[in-house]
Amino acid sequence: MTLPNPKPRSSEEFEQLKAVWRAPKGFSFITVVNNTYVGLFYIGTAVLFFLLAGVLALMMRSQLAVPENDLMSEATYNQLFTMHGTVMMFLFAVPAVEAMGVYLLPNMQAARDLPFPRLSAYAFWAYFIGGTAFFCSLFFGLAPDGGWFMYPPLTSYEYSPGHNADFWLLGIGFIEISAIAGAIEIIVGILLTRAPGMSLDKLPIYSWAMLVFAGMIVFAFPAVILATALLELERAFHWPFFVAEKGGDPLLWQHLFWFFGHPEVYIIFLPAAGMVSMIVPTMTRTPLVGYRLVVLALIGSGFFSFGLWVHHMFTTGIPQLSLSFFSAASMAVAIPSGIQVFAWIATIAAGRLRLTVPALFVLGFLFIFVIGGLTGVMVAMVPFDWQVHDTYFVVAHFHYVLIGGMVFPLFGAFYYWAPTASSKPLSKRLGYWTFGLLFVGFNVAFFPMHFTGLMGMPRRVYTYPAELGWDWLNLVSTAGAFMIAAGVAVFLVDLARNFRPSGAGGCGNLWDAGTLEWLPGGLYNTHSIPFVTSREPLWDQPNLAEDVDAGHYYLPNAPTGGRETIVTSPIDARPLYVLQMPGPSWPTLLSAAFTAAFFLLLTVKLVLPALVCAVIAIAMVIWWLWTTDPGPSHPPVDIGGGITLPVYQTGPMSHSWWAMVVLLLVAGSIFFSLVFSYLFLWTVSPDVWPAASGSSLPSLAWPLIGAMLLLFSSAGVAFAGRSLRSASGRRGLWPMRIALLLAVPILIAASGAELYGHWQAGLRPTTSGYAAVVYAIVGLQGLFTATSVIMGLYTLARSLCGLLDGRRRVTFDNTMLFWHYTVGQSLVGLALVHLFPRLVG
Amino acid sequence: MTERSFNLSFASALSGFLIWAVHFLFVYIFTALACARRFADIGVFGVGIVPLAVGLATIVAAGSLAAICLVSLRPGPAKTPSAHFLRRLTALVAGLSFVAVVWAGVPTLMVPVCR
Repeated sequence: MTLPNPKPRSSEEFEQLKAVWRAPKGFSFITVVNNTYVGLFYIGTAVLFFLLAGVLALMMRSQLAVPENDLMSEATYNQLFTMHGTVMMFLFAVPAVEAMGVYLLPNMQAARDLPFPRLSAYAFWAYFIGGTAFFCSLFFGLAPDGGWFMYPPLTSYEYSPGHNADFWLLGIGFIEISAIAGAIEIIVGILLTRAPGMSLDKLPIYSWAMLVFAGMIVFAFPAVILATALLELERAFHWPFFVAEKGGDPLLWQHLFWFFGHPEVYIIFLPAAGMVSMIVPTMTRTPLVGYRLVVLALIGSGFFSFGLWVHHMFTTGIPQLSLSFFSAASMAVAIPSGIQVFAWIATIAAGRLRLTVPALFVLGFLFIFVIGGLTGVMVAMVPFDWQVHDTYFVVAHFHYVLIGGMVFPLFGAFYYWAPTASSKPLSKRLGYWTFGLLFVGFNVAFFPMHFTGLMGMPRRVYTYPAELGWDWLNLVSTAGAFMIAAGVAVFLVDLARNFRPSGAGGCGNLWDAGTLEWLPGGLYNTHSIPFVTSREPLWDQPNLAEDVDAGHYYLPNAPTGGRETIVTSPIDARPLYVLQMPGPSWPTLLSAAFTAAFFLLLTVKLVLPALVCAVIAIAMVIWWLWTTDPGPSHPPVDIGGGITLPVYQTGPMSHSWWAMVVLLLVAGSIFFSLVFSYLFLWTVSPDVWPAASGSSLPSLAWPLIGAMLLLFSSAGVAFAGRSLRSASGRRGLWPMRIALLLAVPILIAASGAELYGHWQAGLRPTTSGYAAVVYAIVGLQGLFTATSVIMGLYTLARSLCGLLDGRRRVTFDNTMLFWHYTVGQSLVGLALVHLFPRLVG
Repeated sequence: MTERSFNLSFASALSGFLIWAVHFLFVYIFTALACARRFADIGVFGVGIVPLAVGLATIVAAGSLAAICLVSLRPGPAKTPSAHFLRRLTALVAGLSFVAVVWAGVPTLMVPVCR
């Protein structure tokens, strides 16, 4: 093809591009939003938590090194294993793979940044501040101690009256927000900001992996968000969701937690598999064998992993046939994993593997992960699991799949991609030592645990008697753990001596890789945005790097004077419009800090200060939002190659609409989990439902009035939208404003009617599991109502300030989408609560 | 490229997994309710109601998946590389889901329902 901008570009234009992307100086540096810096902060913080949780592991292994040890009390040990698991899973594993995505994805797709840079900055700071405070609970003896999965009744108000469990429940609240924010960003970024020509069949495998990762977060995290909210309501207000004597059920927690918990481990593994699929082709200088099959495997793992959760509950007395479905699915999920392993082996066989440090980590990953996969299929057999459940066999299994499947690829990824971030590569010699110590240390630590478990040693015990024959195995495991620590220490030395992050773009394409993140560039990513015709553009498109760097491809400048990238169509990556993006932002950082403060203060029951922080956080968010939705502020831009693109887009093709749709999928998943909770409790405790218990349902007049009010409010918003479309001039906006202003109290009245209806019928949330779940549904409706009201009033304010009209309407569209969703969710809630009990009698 | 045609293309490519999910949800919920509400002992034409429901669901799901797989494998009007890619992906997805659906249905032939 002819180059889009074949003439030489001016250096003033290039200087302007660099200036627009420059990071702020001095203290304001912390307000940076560029994915390169946010990604590095994020990765660094995740590594910090890995080290901290690793120290906890060393303490545990020291306690277990010899029988009947008294290095620490059982209470301390309980906090250690709970925090080790929680920090590793929530503060290290998911953030680390998300952080690699934040750092790599825009570069790999030749976008200049993620589509919502401030959102990823917010996610990072909330995680950093909240996670650090959460970890510090250890120093006050306030760390959670009920296991990383926190089963009630142990963790409910009767048996865990202190703040420890609340720290877990509220502590992971902001991590949940971070993960969801990241997922929205990643989905929209992968689908809408790619290099032109990067159609779906040329999408890097890592992008496919991250797309599946983010999609899984959207459907899995809501279950744990709901579960933590319900358990906190039970602990704080005694709403008995999980109290069997009052018609609740502890198994409800297990279903909700593991519906999240199983996909969680694939959320952790799939990005690592994606990274391996980028490293192996480079190290063998051969395209990945079986690209389509690997895409199938990634999506298949994602889907099937949602059908496995009961395999964590094989010993709970669930009927045998039900267990068998999950056993079958747990075996079936091995097929996509196997497809990927064979694809990597085939790629290695098709090329010549250079035994670089990243390649060694990949080989280590293959060995360890496959062993973990084999023991996984073993525990998928119900009778076998009945023998090894809650023993060290399971500990061995999951460390083989998690450390093998994620930590080894992550170390490989650090060595592989370090040249894109650092002006010096990491050391080969220290890398070999790191690998050797980690690989040998890991197997010495964890392989014996298979036998320890088969010999009967249970999990989560702080010591064990000498005469059971577990002593040598434990001592060997402890030695292995310290060898792992030595390997990590060598890695830290390597980082300290060699890793020098520079905004100037690293030390070059040292591995001769084929994908776009290796193009020369800086904080602006690349001087121009290339057109791609292959999966390995650097191998197949001659002179690509030179031409991109000389500005001969698309958008070699900053025509609107601000940060921009190109939005492309999701399937064929045709350029659609230029996305105007923000730069450094104080309100983003402040809203993250106050969000974290809100959760932490609530944990220690300082309710009024918590509410103050919540109000400030919301105010900061509104200040932040006020600078979004710039409207068609600039005439269409010529990006080169005869293509002129608008700088603003409304309607279903806008990135903002897509982000809102993903958010609504999250909301729908939370609601779906709540509907499941209602129906599950009805299945197991029908005796507390109205028909059996005699407690009265409100008369049908209440939900009928509520439904009418809901529909009126939606109609108002729909009318507002239509009148906005045909509005001309400033006076033409008044019908929209009045419709919106009227819709607000109508929506509030609908929520109020539902709440009052139950209250006046005598239902109180503390009486039974039925009452608790009904009030939870009402409460969720209230929460969505409040959010819709804030959005509606915000939209009104923008319109009154002249920042919203018929052409500049993205803010209105977001409000409209959320509003209609709220109404739809509330209607389904009304039908469930008022019609279902009457239908089943 | 409108949002709807993306959603439709993506959903059709993943139709195999969606059918797997519906089948899985149905067999699990039906079995759970049958045991919790004790209607698993009902027999229809001499076959227990649970094996019958699971068996029928499995046959219907597996049949649909086989059909989707065969239809997408036929040479079709693939206008662009991405359209061709999505068509092939549809067949692969349906094939893998077929295996998973059959595998999930098989226990019903061997395992007692509610014990």
